[in-house]
Amino acid sequence: MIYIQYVPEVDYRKDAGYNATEFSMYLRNYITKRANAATSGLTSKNYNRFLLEVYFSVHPELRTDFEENYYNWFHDTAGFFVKGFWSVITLGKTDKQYYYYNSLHDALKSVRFVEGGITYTPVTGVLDYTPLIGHTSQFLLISGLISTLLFVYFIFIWIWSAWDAYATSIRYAATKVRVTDKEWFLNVYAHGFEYIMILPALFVITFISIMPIVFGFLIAFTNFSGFDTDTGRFVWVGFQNFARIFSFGEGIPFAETFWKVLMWTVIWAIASTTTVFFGGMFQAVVISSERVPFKKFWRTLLILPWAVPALISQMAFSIIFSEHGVVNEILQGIGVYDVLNNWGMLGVEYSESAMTAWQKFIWLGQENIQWFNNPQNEWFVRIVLIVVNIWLGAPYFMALMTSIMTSIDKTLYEAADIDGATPNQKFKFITFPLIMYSTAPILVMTFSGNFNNFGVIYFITQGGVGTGDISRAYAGDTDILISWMYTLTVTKRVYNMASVFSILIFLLVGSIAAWNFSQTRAFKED
Amino acid sequence: MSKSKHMLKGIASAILPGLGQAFNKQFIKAVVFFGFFALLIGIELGTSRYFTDYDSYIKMEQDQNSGVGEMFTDSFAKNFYLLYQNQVFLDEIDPIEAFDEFYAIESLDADGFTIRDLVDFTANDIVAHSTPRYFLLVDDLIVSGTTGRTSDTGEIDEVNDLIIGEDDAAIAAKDFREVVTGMTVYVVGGHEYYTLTSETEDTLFINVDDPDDIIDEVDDDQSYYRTGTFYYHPATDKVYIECTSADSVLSSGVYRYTNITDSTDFIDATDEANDALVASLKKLKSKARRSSTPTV
Repeated sequence: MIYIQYVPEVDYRKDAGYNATEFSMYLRNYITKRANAATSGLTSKNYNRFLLEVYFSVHPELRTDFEENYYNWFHDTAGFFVKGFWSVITLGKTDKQYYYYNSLHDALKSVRFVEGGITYTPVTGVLDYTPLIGHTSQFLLISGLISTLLFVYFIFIWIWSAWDAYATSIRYAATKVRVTDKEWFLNVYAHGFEYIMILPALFVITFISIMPIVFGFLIAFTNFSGFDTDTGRFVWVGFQNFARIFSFGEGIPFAETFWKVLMWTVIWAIASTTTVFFGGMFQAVVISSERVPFKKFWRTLLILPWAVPALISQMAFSIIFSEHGVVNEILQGIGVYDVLNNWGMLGVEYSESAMTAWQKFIWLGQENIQWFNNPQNEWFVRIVLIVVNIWLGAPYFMALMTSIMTSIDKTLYEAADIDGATPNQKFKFITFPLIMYSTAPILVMTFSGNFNNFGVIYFITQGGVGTGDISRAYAGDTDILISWMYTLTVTKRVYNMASVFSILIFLLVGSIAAWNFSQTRAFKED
Repeated sequence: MSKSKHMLKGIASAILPGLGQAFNKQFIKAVVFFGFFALLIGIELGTSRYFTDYDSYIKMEQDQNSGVGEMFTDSFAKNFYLLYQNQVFLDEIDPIEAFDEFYAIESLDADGFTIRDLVDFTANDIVAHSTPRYFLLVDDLIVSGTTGRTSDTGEIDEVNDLIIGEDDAAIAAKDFREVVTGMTVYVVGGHEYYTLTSETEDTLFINVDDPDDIIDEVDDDQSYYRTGTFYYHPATDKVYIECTSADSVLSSGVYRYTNITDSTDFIDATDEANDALVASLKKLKSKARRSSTPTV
């Protein structure tokens, strides 16, 4: 025997739909007739409401839920400040809700019909469901922070008022002299002039600077991650996100990836800083040598890469070193490929099992050298990046050191000459220590800069192989923390983890910078 | 002067900024402090709805995205009943007994026959005519456009229908199996098999006639698509499911009709000898078939 299963709705969603009845057809036609009357003013919105009301009567539990949760006293009735506190504390209570009443359409949707020779046209624009936006935590948190910060100002004035009443009363009791209002205002103006001047700026900074920073910081303590929470609700989760950095083997591998990326970031920051620093020093020493002619020409030529906007040169490198780019064409043309083929660095099919560690280490690609998108040999790509960065960063240090070297007192060298010092000794005991003395703080700041050198990583490799792959927590081979965060926030919307990483970067780089400043003389004398 | 007097002035300003200053006879200062306090309260009240009625329904009506407007009024319900009564009186329509009974009770309420009563009756009426159940396919379907005894009226066949929630024991005893539709199937040993990816990501093939018959490999020389369209053959009282196969990238044609209870029994649609048989098949249409699957 063959049966048909007839179920009007499954989980409040339309399955087969409810049947039309004699009464439902009479009613829907009655409403359609009313809508056809020119003066009725009855629109599809009223019709949707009618369907929704019937749907609520079919499911009284949905009506109860709607009445209790869609309207929230704090969200909808309370004023700016009360709503703000509630927002920051709860981040919203009501989820998005869709009421699917298209299961009623067979029974109740307005249709064309003829009665008494008159054709009635159906009400158009009848919906399948009513979407109701719940609370959007993102907006609630921002507006909540704004109102809370504003409230802090009012609280300050409030406390001031109480303290002032108390202090004035004591002073009057002691001196028996009543300070007039005018005197008091003049006094405030005279004593608090700098605060009065700074107040407007502080007020503006509170909302354009402090509020966003606090917002970004607080995100780390929520589950604000993914497209649903972007337009919907997220909640406070405490230090869970920080714990994820240490919880290996659970869910998306943020823990494994974080330590890998952090290690590469530190290596990158150290390697790129030292290469750029000593590369610049080398150029400066060479150019300043007395035996080099056309000094100005060389200096101009070497400073050029620094003068060109970094973005342009980074993009250019990305193109030049692409798999079918100019560099590979030339190398192939002059026969370097043949040599590499002989050495087994090229032309070999990569195999995880059959190759030795050395073979894997020197593997550059199969058909072409994969400078920036080598899927197997990530360290090759990383080394290329560090080398490319020399070209971009060294000119700055060259310019800096050239100027430092010209300012070194010539008498030092003359004295050294008299003592019979060799050029090496002069460099080792005069030039190098003096350069280091002036540039050491800049060296530390360059380290911090390279730690967050988004441009070189992102515009040259876009994060490298594996970017956006969930099994490696969206981080590519060459991603450093800052470019990983870019992928996490802009394309993957994992805001909470990105915020955790930004806090860690802040702590790391901030403490290095703070230590650096504390070592400088300018800071000590302040 | 006692120390508590100073404290009291401080507390006065803590309760209402400016009050302590007023006690100190510094009235302009009092006004300034009170001004800030008034601004605080003003912002709070000005951005609130403390003094207006607001609830879920008003909020929904004001929400531009909801697509929902105001509900009909109670007079709408009363006018509806008047027209209904009038039409019944003029014999333009038949009276609806259940509605008359309902009205007789509800109209005696303190609030009379309201729009909410009308909505509730409509909901109950629709639900009462849409009992979730299993009904016989051939009995209840619309055969070739001619209405048989159809489910569309919600009428229950007391003899054959199995009502979910009432006849659960009988339904369980039937041990229903869903007819496989909307799947690519492969033929092995005359039976059709459809594919399923298991939790361990292995591809499995399951016999459409016997869900316990699972194999992990097929020779996929012969594969085609089981559509969701059913055909009834009156002479043999069999129901067939239409199967299509791609003729080219752009078009597909009917490949065969498979008996839905036994996939080894089929009509080869590509064989011209079967043309007469194919022509005698009657296409089944059913409201319920839209998403509910026939169950053997």
